[in-house]
This record gives sequence, structure tokens and C-alpha cells, in this order.
Amino acid sequence: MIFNLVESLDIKGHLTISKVYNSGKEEVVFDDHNIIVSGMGVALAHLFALSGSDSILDYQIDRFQVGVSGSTLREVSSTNNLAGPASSIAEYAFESNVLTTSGYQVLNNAIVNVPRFYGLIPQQNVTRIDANTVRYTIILDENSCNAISRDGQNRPLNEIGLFVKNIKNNSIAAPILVAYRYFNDIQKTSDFSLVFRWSINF
Amino acid sequence: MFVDKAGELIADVMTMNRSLATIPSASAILDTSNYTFQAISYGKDAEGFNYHAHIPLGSFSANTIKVISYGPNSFSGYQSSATASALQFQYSLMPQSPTPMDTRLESKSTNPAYSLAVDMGQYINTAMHPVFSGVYPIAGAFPPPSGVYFQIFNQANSLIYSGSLQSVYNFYNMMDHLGFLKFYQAPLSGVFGHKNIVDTFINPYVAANTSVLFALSGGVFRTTGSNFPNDVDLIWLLTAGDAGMLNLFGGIYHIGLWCFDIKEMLKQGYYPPYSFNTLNTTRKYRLFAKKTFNKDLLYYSSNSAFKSMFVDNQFSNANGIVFTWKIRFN
Repeated sequence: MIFNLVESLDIKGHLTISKVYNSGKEEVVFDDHNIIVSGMGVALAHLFALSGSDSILDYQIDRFQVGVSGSTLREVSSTNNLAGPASSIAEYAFESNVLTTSGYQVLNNAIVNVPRFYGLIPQQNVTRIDANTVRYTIILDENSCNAISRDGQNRPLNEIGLFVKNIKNNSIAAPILVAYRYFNDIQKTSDFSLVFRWSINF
Repeated sequence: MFVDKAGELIADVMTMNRSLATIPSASAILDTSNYTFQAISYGKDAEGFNYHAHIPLGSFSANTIKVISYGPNSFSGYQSSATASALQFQYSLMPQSPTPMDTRLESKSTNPAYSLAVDMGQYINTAMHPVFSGVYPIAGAFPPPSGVYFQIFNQANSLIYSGSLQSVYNFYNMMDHLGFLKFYQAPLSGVFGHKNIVDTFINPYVAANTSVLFALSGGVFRTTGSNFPNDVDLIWLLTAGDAGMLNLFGGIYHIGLWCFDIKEMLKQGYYPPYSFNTLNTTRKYRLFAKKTFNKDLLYYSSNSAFKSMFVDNQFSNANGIVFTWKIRFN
């Protein structure tokens, strides 16, 4: 007997991105499905095989990356990282309310010991919508991600990914990408916050 | 088919309160083993729990199963085509079609009309029931640790065959009285290593009999071979004696894969670790996946096949059926 878990459960997600101005006005700038990538299966395989961390907290989606080099070509299940993620705590911004952390990353089921930077999703921003659906709310406030430059130029955001924390129980957390989405360029400024509402149906 | 409860379990994992990690008395709730596969069960059509060996024949005997063979060359319930045709208006033989909303193998009652058995939607292991173990010859569906006699009659009530069956499941306390076959819990290594398990189950005669029995007595194995993390294999054995008794009770039409229902256990005041025992004093399960068959997996069409499969080659040399359930993740 062969059962495919991710396909059979039809795990899928939906992402809404809004600009929220200081006046309180909210403008939805993106509303579409996302891509569940192969890392989701890798994470669940470690969980159900009892072959990874012995704490389920390490299998939770608790962090994200935003990036500036996204493309539709990355919207395939084999994608395992962002093309151009924010590459320092400074790029997420010191004075913002976004909690950041550094760590390694799991690529092709192996830990790559190169420091990478992640934004953290606080517990209160993880909401059970119904029995099978979880919504992750990510807020890049007005001070966040306003100065991500490449080649001397300030770059707009255009990709985001969700990560599971540390399936291999590495001493330095090695997250794995489980969901990805490219979106049209958003030049982040201090005039607005960006709110990502990302629902995953398991 | 994975059922909706499987997705619900993953959502539970994703939303479990992180602050529990800081509370020593509660941190065990976060242990991964509480959220993975924990049991396998067998089932058949609900209607079948009022047929096969569930029908009392003559005087009740405390250690003998009695069953009528309706086919000229079949002990496999009513599965011969001529008999199935004759009975189709009173007994359809078909299990319930699986749906994602299923929470057990059969949604209708699986409690025989006369018995004190438990309605679990699946085969139960009455021989290990703390109170009602005495009715196992009609409630089923696995032999007690000491074994069981059986008698097979033709439709004229003449004895045509008899013998005895042994249970590996109950001899090694692998299955609780509700019919849940346990998983091997520890990490795989040594005799329980992936290669040994696969070698043992694929070709049991490679190893000495005692090693085979020792290995299989661990329960169901989750193995991670060279194709991990794309695949995880669940491997277990249904030995001849246990299979033979299931055959007398109508065979196998469902196999269920279960995880813990940890929320229900916590609600009832049961806290981890949830160790296994045949009385099942604490464990509550929720269905994760099920496989339904439209023909009895144990069907054999001749008396001699039944004898050679289930009787002559029982227990002592660990003959049986190897199940491999491959869960694919990518």
C-alpha cells in the first residue's frame, strides 16, 4: 500500500498582503494561493518517522523570510530557499517590532552551516481558524525592511517564505522552507506597515 | 485514504502552546511521540459482526470457535462466489466506502446483537478484555495467549475440519483488548535496525525463528530506508494463528492507522507518557488513515490452503503475512 500524505491531504495555503497606513487605512495589494514546497513533506516525514527532534515545537512554523529577488520560476514544489532573502538583522531593521533571529537552513535534507536571518512569528500571531486551518499573521511595521539594498540600490520586496523551526534538532536551529510565494514588487517605506495573513489548510 | 483528522492532528502540532516547554510538569505533552503513528487495527463490514463465527452454534464452548463453511472449498467466511450470490439479498459482504470524514473503520455498530463486546467499528481483541474475555469464541477476533481450538462444519452441521490456532499478538501482549496493535517505540538500531527489520520481514527464513519472533514482537515498525525523507515504511506481520482466527470471523476488509487523541486524553486527566498495556487504561486514538478492500485479504479458496497456511505453519516458524504500508511525503 502506498499513500502520499501531502498530496492526499491536499495541503494548501492562501496569502493576503495589505498595506496598513498610519491613518489606519488598509489596502489589500495581494490576494492569492501560495506554493507548498517539498520541505513540508520533509518536515512531516521527520515528525511521523520519529527521526528528528523529539519536541513538536521544532516542527512548528514559527519564522519567515522576506526577499527581494523572487520570481514565478520559484513557484514550484522543489524550491527550498528564497532567491534573495534579507541577509542581516539590520535589513529587517533594528528599530522595528519584528523579532529576528539567525540560524542555519536545511537544504536537500542536509544542514547548510551558513548563517541566515529570519523574522519570528509570535505565538499570538498563530491562529487556529478551524479544525484543519492555521493562520499566520506577519507584520512588517513602518520601520521594517525599508532599506534592503543590493548593488547600491534600494530594492522592493517581492518574495516571502514560511519556515519550520528545527526538525533535525540542531544545536543552532536549522529551519526548512515549507511555503513560498512571489508577489509583485512592493517598495517598503515608513509610510505604511505590511501585513501578511497566511492561511495553511492541512 | 488519509482522513480529515490527519490534517487536524498536524494543525494541532502547529498551534500547540509554546509556553508549555517552560513548565516541567507539562513539557512531556510536547514530546513528538505523542503526535505520530501509534496503532494499527483491522476491520470488516459492520454487518459481518452478526455472521461468520459470531453466530453461536450449538452449545457454547469456552475455548472453541465454531463456524459454518458455506462454500464447498472455503473457510473464508461467505466469500466463495456461489455462496455470496446466494446470500446477496440478506448480507452484502461489502465494507463501508471510505470517506475523509471517517473517524473509525466502520461507522455503523460493530457490536454483535447478543454479545457484551465493545462497539469500536473494528475487530476487537476480546480475549484480552478484563471482564468479558470468556466470550472471545463468538466475539473474536484473536486467539488468547494459550491458543484456541476451532471446529468447522458444513451446512448439514457435520464437522469437516478442526484444529488449533495460536496468537503471536496476544502471546507477546502486542494488541490491546480494543484491537489496537502497538507500534515499536524506540529508535531503530541493532536487531531492530532498518536493514534487519526489512530482511526479517521480507525473508523470515534468513534468520533463526527465535530472532524472527523476537523482532516481530516489537509491534509495527516505522522504518526510514534509503528513500527517507520521501518515504516512511510501516512494516508489520500478521502471523498464521492470528490470521487464521480473523479468517474464521470473516477476514480483513479494512486496515486502520491511528495516532493518539492527546486532547481527549488530557481532557480526561491522562498525562504522558502513555505507555501501552493490553487493558488500555489510558490511551485514546484518532484515525489518521484507512485502507479499505472490496475482497477479503485472507480469502483462500480451498480447505488444504487454509490448513497449510493457518494451521500447519503456525507460530513455531512465524509464518504469516507481511504488511508494508508506505507513507509518501514528497
